[in-house]
Amino acid sequence: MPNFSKSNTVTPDPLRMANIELAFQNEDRRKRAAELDIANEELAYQNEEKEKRAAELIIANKELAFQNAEKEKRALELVIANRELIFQNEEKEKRAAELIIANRELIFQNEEKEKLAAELIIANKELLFQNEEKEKRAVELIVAYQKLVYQNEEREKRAAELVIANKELLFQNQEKEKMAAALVLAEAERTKMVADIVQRNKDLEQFSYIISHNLRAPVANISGVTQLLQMPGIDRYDEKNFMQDLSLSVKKLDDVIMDLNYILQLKNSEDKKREQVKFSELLNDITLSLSDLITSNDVEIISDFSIIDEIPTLKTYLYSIFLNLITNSVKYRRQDATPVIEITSQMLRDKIQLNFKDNGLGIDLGTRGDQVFGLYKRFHNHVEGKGMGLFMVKTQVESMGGKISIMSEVNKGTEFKIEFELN
Amino acid sequence: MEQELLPDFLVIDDDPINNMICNRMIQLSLAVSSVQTFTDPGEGLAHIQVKYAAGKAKKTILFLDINMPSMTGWEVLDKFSGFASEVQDKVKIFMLSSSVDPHDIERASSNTLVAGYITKSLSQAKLHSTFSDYVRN
Repeated sequence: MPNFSKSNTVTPDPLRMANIELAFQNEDRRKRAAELDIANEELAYQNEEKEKRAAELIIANKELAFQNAEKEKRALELVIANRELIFQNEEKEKRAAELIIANRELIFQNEEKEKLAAELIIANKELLFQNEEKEKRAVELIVAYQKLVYQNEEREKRAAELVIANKELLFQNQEKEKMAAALVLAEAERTKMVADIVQRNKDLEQFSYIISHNLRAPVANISGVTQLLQMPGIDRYDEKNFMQDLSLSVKKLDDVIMDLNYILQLKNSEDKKREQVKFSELLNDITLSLSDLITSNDVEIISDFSIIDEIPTLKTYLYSIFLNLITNSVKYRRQDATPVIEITSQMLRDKIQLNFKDNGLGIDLGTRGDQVFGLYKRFHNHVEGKGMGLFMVKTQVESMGGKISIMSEVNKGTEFKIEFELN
Repeated sequence: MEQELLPDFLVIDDDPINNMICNRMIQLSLAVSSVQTFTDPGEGLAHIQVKYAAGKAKKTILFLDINMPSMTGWEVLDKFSGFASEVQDKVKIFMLSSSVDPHDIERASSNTLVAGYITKSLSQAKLHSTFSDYVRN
């Protein structure tokens, strides 16, 4: 563009110059706008193209998403189908294993059958052989039978002879049995005699003890007192006392001798006559004769003979037994309790048992229990007594073939059980 | 004989006549007044225990019967064996029994607590020999 501003010296028309300039500038701008219009159109076209592509992509995307979902479904179906196949395979394997076992069993059974068949063949052969042997034996047996027939005839002859010999033996045996029975009786007799002798020996031992203790005691006293009587220095008072003691001792000596005599007679009275005795009547008689003792001590006697009330016995002995046991229970009563005596009878198979039970002082059987029934043995010294009662009871019970036992507890009471055999 | 040298005497026997004989025989023979007698062995034992618990009691000779109802002489010896040794040292026991049974004599001689065995009745001669036995021991 020509530079007009610097040519001040030239004086062109300025307005035309500016118009030309403006026209030029307008022309330029018009060209530029046209160019922009073209560029704009181009851009609009490009935008439309891009939108079309974008729409196409959205559609393509949706298509892909749909395809993916389809694929997942198929995959799931395949997993399920796979599991089914695995299960079916396992089932088939099991069946196969079972078939293998079944096969083995069949094979084993076949083998067994083959063995059996082989054994049967052998057994058959054996049977055949045995049949042949039996036929041979049958022939032999016929021969043997003929022999036996002959021998039997011989034996019958011998048997007839033996019958006669047997009768002879039988007679001899009967004689021997009679002898044996007699021997058994004699043996029983002997055993009883030995037992009697043993008992008598014991009695004798007891008697020798009694003589050394109880018979000697008053004799020793007599001897002691007579020595005192002869001593210097005694006075009239002494003399009087000594004489009293002397006479007491003599009386005591006589008592012991009388006791011994009585006991010896008891032992010799085994063949006394027995009679039927009722316990209830016997007890009545005794309570009557002891009525003073019973009432003054407030004694209660309870009796029950309902099971058995009557036995054949020696009445005097049984009376003495009842009397001794009842008086003992009263004598050795407890001061702090009303004396109660229970007397009962009962049956034990072929025996009758009498029970005497009290609630008295009792006896300590632990230390001297074996002496309870001993003569002149005493366990309490607060009451008068000779120590003869229980000895008498035992002697009488035993002389009638009975037995007596005692159970006792100190301060509780005492129980006697007496057994007699019934025959 | 010197009074101080003489022991005390105890008799345990259920028979009062024997006790009386012992009492008078000892008094008349030895001029001793201290003779105590017991018919109940339990009481006799209790007396010994009480007497020697005091400590100043004299030596004592005990005549002990065997055959007694509440307690035999052997049982008395059993109980006595449980007493303190001071008591056992002071009391010399002589069995005094009417028994001439060899079993009793044997049993007494085998018991170390028993100093001797005397068969009844106690006489002057027996008393003197007992006493000399006692002095010797």
